Amino acid sequence: MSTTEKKQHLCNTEGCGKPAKLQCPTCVKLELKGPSYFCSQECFKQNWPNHKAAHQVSNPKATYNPFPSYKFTGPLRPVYPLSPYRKVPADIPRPDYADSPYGASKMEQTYGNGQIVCMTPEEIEKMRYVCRLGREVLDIAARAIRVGITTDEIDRIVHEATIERKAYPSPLNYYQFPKSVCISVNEVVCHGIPDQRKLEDGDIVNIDISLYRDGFHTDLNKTYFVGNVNEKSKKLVKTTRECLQKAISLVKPGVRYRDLGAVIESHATANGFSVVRSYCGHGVGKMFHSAPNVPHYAKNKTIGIMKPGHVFTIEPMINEGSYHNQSWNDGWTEVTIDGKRSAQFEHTILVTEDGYEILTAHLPDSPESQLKDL
Amino acid sequence: MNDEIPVLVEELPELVPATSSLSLEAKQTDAAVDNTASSSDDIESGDRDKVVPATILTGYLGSGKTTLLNYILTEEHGKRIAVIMNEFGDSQGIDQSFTSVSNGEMVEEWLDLKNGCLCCTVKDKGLKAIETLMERKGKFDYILLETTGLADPGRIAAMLWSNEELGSDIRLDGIVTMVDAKNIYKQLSEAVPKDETMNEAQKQIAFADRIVLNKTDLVTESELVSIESTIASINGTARVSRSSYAKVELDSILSINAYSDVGQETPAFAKFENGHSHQHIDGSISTMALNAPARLSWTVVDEWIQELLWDARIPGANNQGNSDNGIMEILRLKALLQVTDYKSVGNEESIAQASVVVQGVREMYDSFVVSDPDSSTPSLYKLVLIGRNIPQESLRNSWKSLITNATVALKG
Repeated sequence: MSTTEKKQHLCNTEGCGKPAKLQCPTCVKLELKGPSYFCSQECFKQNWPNHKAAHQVSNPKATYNPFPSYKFTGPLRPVYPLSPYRKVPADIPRPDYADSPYGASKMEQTYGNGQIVCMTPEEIEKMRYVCRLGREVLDIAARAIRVGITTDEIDRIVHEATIERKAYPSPLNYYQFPKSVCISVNEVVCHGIPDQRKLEDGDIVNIDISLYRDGFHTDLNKTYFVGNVNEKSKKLVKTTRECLQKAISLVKPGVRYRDLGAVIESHATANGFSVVRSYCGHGVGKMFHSAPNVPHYAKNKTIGIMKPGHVFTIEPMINEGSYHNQSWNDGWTEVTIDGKRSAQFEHTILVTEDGYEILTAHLPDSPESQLKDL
Repeated sequence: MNDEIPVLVEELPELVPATSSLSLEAKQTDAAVDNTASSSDDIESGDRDKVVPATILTGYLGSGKTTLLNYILTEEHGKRIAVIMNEFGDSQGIDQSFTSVSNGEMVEEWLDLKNGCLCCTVKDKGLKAIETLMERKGKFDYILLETTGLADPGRIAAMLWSNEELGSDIRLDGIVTMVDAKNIYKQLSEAVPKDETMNEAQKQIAFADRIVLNKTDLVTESELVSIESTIASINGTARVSRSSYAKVELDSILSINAYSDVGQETPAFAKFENGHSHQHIDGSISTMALNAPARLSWTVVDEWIQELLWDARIPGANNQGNSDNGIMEILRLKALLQVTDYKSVGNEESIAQASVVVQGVREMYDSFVVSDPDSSTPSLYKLVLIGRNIPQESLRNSWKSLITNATVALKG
């Protein structure tokens, strides 16, 4: 909240030297600090023939931070421009928000908070299929992870693998989310927008896949190591996956949704980590998000008892430091408030007659877990 | 070749503490930050952990809500009170107008709420916007949410209430309803809107924790008594205070802690008794009490409540809980009970014997331990329901068998 002291800048035109409070917009985009200040449009105009050269010498494939004045909580920065909106072939059926104003889902707003749906055997069959496709796409994305690949490139791979399977990438235009997958690096808790940032050695990266086919959505995610990751991050990722496993093992008819949070919170806390509270698991199926709400923290008032045919996600986000999060000015990217790292794992789960089925489970050819030897 | 000379932009700031890309909003913020510089410093150091109570204020158009708000805001109380008007809890993603008033100073802001939430809908956008505003301008001492006619106070309350779990700085304090003594009968007998189960006035009275019966100067004493009896037949648990020109003891409507375990005295609802024949306008909404003369097993009671609220079913009965008149709809549940082996959600340990208060708004409920009010008055222990089409007979039977099954022999 405190305002920092103003640094005086001088006009860049030779021999002018007046105090300058205006900046060349192109320089700002390119984050060129030195020659960008001018005292007036007049002076700038005069200097333009010389000045524009400054733009040329810099990176021709110019990327920039779109929120230079935002107080970032950690080292990560958005790297813009985003790539153009990706198209989905016209023959692929689209969810209701794909073309609606603000990307709002009428169906979710009307029915999303109602009773928890019990799926019929036919619906469950469709759900199994779409969940399997989701898993395949996640595995394809996972194989692409390497130091130096941009998250936008992973978005392209996910988008193409999705439409190849005649499915719609659920995040695309959902409340105007601009991309086909959420990719959350390091201190990003969730909803990271794929951009031009290259993955670096030591990063942890979560890939959250959702896709829509035959009238049903699937939802799953996983956190991966990029290159050599430090011990603390390894422990964080491992603990997070264990939190998910422990919660899943409780699932069976008769269990209250509100009781899942306790096991997650106690395991996270025992390992010195915290549980994100603002985002919950959710019902998934004909709607991307619907009842029940599945909080990952212990003390909650969430409604509902598990019954055979319920399909929902559990997706704990576990933080190294504080559980609080805040969002970037893109309105989506949620980061930890202290800039420390956050990990997440998610499955879509079916409640069966006597327990559960992980619909988005590993396939025989899924990449081997990086946590295997930890 | 594009050789157009671009127009210079304002110096881009490490300098401006803008948290938003909207320049207009950022400018307003600057001004506000300057004005309240000292108080925002306090915030940094002092009240980071301060929890701000929020009251939902409902009432029919013309009932005197605005007069009450003006009264509250002009009273000398030295508090920074924020008043949020317009449709609240609306998830349509429309910009909402926000008016903050503290000690006569008015600031109007437009909050940008276009973005949805990709993962789930727990966090209401309106609330998030208020929290963000408090981060920038310092915390308010109190928040008043004025809802428009069509909003369901129960839904807004449930939303605020569950939001507390997210580590929010905002706490649901209570629902206050203004009733227009002159016009209430007309309003109660209005047609129920399509796709709704109650009209506006019915809903507002049914959900209230406190009712201000306003414009008492426009009706006779005997009319007032009759109105109070009508209100009590719908909602027998809300405390009613009379007023004219919305002048009311603020202590009786603000900081009442209706949903938390802060400073609980014997809750008002515990004094409710099933009445005889009240004057009914719409017999379908009513309050009923089920007495709990014995100490009950918490697990059994907890499951009974879940079946009633979550499955909308008479616990233990085969039918779907519908009376002859239509589908049962429980709006509020309040209980003061003596229980054994009490375990709150997410808590491993249980308490062998406790007095607990249960509060429910529509499907959502919570419970907490209270100090034993007065165990010499067993008639205080009960469960009270406010709802539509409550099949009283079957519910009474269901409760009776619960008492039989769940009664635990008192020790000592």
